[in-house]
Amino acid sequence: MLGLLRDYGREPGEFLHEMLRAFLIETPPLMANIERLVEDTAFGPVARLAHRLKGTSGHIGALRFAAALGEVENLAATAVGQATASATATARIEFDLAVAAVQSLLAGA
Amino acid sequence: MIQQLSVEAAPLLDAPLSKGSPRQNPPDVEAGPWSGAQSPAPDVDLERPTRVLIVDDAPSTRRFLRGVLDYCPQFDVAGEADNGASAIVMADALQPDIVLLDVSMPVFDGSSALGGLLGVAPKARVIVLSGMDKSKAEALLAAGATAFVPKGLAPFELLERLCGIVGRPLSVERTAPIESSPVDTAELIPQAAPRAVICDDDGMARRLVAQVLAKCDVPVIAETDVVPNLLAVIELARPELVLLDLWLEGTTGTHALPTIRRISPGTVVIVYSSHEDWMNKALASGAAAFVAKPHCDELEAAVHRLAPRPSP
Repeated sequence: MLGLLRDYGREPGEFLHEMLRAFLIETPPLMANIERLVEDTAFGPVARLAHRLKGTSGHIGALRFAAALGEVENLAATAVGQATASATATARIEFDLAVAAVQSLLAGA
Repeated sequence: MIQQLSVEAAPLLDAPLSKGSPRQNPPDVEAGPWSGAQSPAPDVDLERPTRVLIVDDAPSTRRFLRGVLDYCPQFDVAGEADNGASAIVMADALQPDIVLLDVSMPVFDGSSALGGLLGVAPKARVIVLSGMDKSKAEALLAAGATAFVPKGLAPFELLERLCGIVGRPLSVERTAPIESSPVDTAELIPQAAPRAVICDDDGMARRLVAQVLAKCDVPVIAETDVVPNLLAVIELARPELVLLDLWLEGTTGTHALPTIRRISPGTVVIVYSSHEDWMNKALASGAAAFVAKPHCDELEAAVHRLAPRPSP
């Protein structure tokens, strides 16, 4: 996935870096929103937001995080409260790992 | 230089959304009249499927047509032929109700085969399905073809037209997947330089889709994240191409597809979504192709294949 992103933009790698930086800036509030909404048992918005964030993370190759969000989405869609909370906790772990990986990629660039 | 419109959306989480049933079928749609259609056959038998013989030299087109027809219980694909000579033999044996006949084929083309088809299967309605200009198909219509249908139609529109020709109401019930339309751009008659509109609630996805389109030399005239803005832009600009996400704020892209078809029938819609379980419904509702996120390379291929191009 990252190889594909390298091909976009005016200069090689330029767009990839733009997407990685955007991930670091735009996704933490979304992840925090998911966690807050899970606490509020607002499962409809949780499913939708998890779905959206799943697409975002897939585009930068954060596939484990995307899979974890897919689980959150599915559970939230069926309003399974405890399981959704558990899946969200797993997604948080994967999210932190993804953020660290992206930071490492940007630092090494 | 095309000015890019900026269409801002409402906040994301104003109202909770319930996730719709992904397997829900679209409602039945009455087939509407269309230019060139004949009146329904007086002897149309609504109790059994209309049997179809597909005649086209391109395997991808035959596969696409079979996939589309398999989606509609009113039709039953009785056979396929890849040239006019085989078509005549098969029509004699199968006695289909309709023959979907390509014109440009090696060995024995559609024009040469028409008389033979009508000779061996006199009750069959021969529908010319071709990328040629309709004016060039007049001779075939005069020679006995029932109707002309241009290639490159979205699956739903194609079904609607075929139902209109054979005089049957259209319903979509089967769940067999429909492949993306294998439109041969060489056979299309482009109407304008392609201009695109992106509708996705994910800002990063919109940026990526814009890059894909830039690589395909398709300018983006507007980006939005909600359906009402998308429809407003389409009504205003009649873009040639729309890149559409499905799960959006307020309504789904799937629900927007029939409206897009109505207000801008020439607009090609490519759905780019991770909701793969909505693929069949999106295609049946008028999308020309469905590309699953995050496969932007496949999206690029779909844009290359489907974006209408200006004449050289």
